Amino acid sequence: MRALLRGSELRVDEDPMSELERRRRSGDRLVLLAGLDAERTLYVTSRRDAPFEPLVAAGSQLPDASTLFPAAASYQTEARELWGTRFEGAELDPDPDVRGVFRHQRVTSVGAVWGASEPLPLPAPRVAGEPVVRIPFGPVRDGTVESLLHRFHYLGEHIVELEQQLGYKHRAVEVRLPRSTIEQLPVFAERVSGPNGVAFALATCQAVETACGMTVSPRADALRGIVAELERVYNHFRDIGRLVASTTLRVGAAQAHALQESTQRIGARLTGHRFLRGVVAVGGVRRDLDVSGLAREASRLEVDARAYFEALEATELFIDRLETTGVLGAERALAWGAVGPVGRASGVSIDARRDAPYGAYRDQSFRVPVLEAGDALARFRVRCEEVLISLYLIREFAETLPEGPVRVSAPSSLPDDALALGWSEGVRGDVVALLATDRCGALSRAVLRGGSRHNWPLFPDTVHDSFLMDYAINEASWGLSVASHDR
Amino acid sequence: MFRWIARGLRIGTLTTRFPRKVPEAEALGSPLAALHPQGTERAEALRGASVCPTHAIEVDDEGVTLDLGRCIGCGLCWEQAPASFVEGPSYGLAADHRAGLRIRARWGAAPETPARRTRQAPGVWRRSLHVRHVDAGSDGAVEFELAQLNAPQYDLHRLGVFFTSSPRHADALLVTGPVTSAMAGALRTTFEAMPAPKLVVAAGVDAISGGLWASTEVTAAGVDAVVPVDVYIPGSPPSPLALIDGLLLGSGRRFVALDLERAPLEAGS
Repeated sequence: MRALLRGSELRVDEDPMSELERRRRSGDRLVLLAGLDAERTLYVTSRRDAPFEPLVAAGSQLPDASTLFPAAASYQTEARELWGTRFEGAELDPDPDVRGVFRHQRVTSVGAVWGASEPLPLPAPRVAGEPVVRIPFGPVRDGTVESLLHRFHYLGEHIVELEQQLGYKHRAVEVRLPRSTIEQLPVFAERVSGPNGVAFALATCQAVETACGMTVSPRADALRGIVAELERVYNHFRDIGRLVASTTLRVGAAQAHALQESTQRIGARLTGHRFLRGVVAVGGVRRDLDVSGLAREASRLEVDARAYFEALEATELFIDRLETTGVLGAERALAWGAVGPVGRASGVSIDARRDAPYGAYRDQSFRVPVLEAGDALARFRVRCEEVLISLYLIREFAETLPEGPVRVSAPSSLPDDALALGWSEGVRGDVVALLATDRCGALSRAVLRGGSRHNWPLFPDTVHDSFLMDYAINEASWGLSVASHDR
Repeated sequence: MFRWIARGLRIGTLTTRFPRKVPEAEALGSPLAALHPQGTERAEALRGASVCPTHAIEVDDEGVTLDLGRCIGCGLCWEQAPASFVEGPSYGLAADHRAGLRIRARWGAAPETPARRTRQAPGVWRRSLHVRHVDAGSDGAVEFELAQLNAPQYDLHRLGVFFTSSPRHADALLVTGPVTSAMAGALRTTFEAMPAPKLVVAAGVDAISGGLWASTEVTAAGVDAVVPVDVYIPGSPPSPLALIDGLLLGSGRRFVALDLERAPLEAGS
């Protein structure tokens, strides 16, 4: 694993295409493409046995990588908006679903002028003809949900096109991050995508630890594992609850809310915070946690969860609504490297905990549920399975918790002229943290990429040619975070 | 369907008795910092101020001020300066003016609690308050807590508070996030579409002051910069109890909401 690049490795001056082509042929997927500055672009690819391989390409004019990896398109759009990097041949979007990501104005250095004040106007619809009705939905949407714009084009009862505009919640997180101290980094990371804070903080801390060559104690690793799995459980209950609510099964939805609440209260008793914040720190965890009784609570929750999932599986009205709704084909999912439960429901077997094990997962074997159907039902079933597996992992970690210290002290500065990667498996896919330092050791660039950032561009395609009721169910079944995408 | 009703009956009642009582298990939330009740000390307070990522702690010659409208509850201050800062409560902090979130303590003295008062509000809001939520750039956690208000454990409807889709039907506008430049227009339009009298609630530290993301190149420093705010609910994110507390304050019902003297902790439920 080359999660750390130093000095000359950061100044590669070669055509990245031949190397990327080689990786594509050996079955790699694109994890992340990010501009480091106007002159350097980082590609991160991964495959099952050799995960997270970085590659730095120099130059403000680069070949278009989306011909090899379709997922590159939206990252290239972002790099172009942010740094002015030109990707030859990519000016015409290869995928019509990928449109301006954040509409940044061109900048010369991070911390300079970012952003425009108005959302990008959506391009003229590609659907013509008089009976087509356009219905905008957002950015202020129904209920207590995050802001984004979906614009439907209707022909009769059919949605013939869905236009998706994200970026309304763009907070310029990556401008703020480099200004924080090392100690504050996880505090910032926890608040990029609130409900996925543990995974973001974990990825960030692991990047720092890789950069500084720190080793985390086994006890801290296990405690990190416990909070990360608790986070997965309450998020999955929430996403299942939203999905059940979208099929108007009110009683079922209320019971998912209740399970989510129980999980969050277990977390609050354990860590003092409903969103498990303030646990993960650089060098371990902030303070020791008392896990007595946790295994028992996890077992009790597992019994409740199992009974609840069985009741849902036995409700034909519910299952019928999910079957064949919002199908993400396996081929497309694989080509894009769709991550998280969405990918795993479409046959893409990716899980950073197993493929690029870190922390306590290194000595843990567990099943990664993968289904082939790619519809809302498959996504629902993958989440149900993952809840049970996570509860099992919590029990394992709690029962075999090693004794020992929970934190090694963090250095006051990072190594100079370095680029470090950290990752974790978040609730909605792998979370990748990239930290780069300049020649004085100051943080010059920080990128936090959550699973939703990778999956959102795939969503509109699954809505084409469906109905509005299906849209609501489909959208809930993806369970993506907008904050994690918009940053 | 019958199966679901039977399941529901078997599970029984889970609903909190808040605001009449505060059971201990529910009181655990997402705590913010508080000033030490035994008094604060200058060197410690300065250390706390230096680690605070949102500059919520201000030190002057006479004492220290903790701004709960900026505190994100990260815990760095009570970890690094435990003699001056402690882990505080996560609810019962809502205020109807910005200054009501600033807690002040002179050196060595106990912190002065800002006066809480019942807010003047139209009488009908006490029985029914319809809320339109606008996400203006939150981190997504507040939306989780808002959705949890419909969980059986909180059941917001029992207090006559409902979330509504149309701003035309809304009495209250509940805003989360620091207000990104892309959302400012949508927020203003929503506000203008609401009939008077209208209540604006800023929920969470981001909405109050911008929090960690205050005044970046693409964010404002909270909702105040775009629409006038009536009630501030601190928290990162505010817990369901904090949100209920703030909504009750906004609808003029503070007198039943959270009176800790009259609502003793109910242990073990």
